Amino acid sequence: MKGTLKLAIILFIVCGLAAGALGFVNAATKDRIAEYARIAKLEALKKVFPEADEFKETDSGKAWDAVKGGSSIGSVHLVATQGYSGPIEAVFGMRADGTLTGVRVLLQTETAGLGAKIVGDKFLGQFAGRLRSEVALTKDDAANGRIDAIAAATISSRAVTKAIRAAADAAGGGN
Amino acid sequence: MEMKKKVSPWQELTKGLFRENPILIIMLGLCGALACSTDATNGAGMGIAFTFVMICSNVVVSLIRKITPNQIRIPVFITVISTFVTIIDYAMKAYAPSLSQSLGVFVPLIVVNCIVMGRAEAFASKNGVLASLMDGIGMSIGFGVVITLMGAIREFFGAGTLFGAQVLGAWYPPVLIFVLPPGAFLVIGFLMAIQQRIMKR
Repeated sequence: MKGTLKLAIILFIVCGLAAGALGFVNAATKDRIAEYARIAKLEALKKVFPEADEFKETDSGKAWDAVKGGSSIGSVHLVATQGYSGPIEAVFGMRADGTLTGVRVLLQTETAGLGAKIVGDKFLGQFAGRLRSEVALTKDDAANGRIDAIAAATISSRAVTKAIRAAADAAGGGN
Repeated sequence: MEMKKKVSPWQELTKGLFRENPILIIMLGLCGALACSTDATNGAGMGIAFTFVMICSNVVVSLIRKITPNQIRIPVFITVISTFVTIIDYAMKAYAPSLSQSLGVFVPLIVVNCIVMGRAEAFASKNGVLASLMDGIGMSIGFGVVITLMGAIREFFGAGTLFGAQVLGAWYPPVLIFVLPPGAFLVIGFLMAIQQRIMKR
């Protein structure tokens, strides 16, 4: 019994020391980590809506008003969806008339070399300048769709496209 | 105290490089080696994170080896290892966020990397601090070099780039399978075969 108690105390001390060290590291890095997350998000907003010079959060962490010279010229939205092998998060900007200004994928775990190409400009570049009614894969909606899916990664391409279309339609504006 | 050992500290270091290479010979820690070698940058990043954890935990385990009761040595080792893993994870998030993002879950998973645990149990808990330090350095270099090499090979054939820089022109159709999981197994198999061939000489 006494031996068991001794083991427990030693393990307790080891864990206590480890917890102390981690607390110290956490305190030293947490501000920097939070700052990076904030900057990364702000940069993403700026990239999808370059014309705006200020972003006002309208729905915490999900939607922003794109403001230029004091007046709203459009909005930026964060969409989350399920891709081929995991969650995908993207932000897109849209002018008041319903034209997209740009798309950026923030988080994805798609297959390297195939689905992971959804972060590339070749795919995402297709969105800028499109009306929201044109945001559909050409193979899904031959009449209106203007987005070409990535070869061998239809599911990933479709997930991004559909999520953006749904959010853009919900936000309304334009046609 | 280390003097009476027959093996010199230098030999403790060099054995990890080739003769007892953690990936190619001991064949431990393959999970991280296969998953994080999609390109040379990821491989090198993983190698650096691994080096920190391996060396620190080997030294600490060796330092406390005499006061660690045998019955609870495994939980103690795991606590030590996971502490260092969390430290490097936070540090990477704070100072190398993009690398941290591309390595993803595999940095926290160093906790269960069998090489770290294996060296703590098989070496550091039985040997002095200097020898354990040398063993840690050798194992880390052995691991880091192989995973970076795997990353470079996979990136070269699978994407035509090296450390993100284009080396092969547009004429080269990337052989995707090298970047996909099966490519990791192919590359590691060939590396093991080459190593065996050289050792048999």
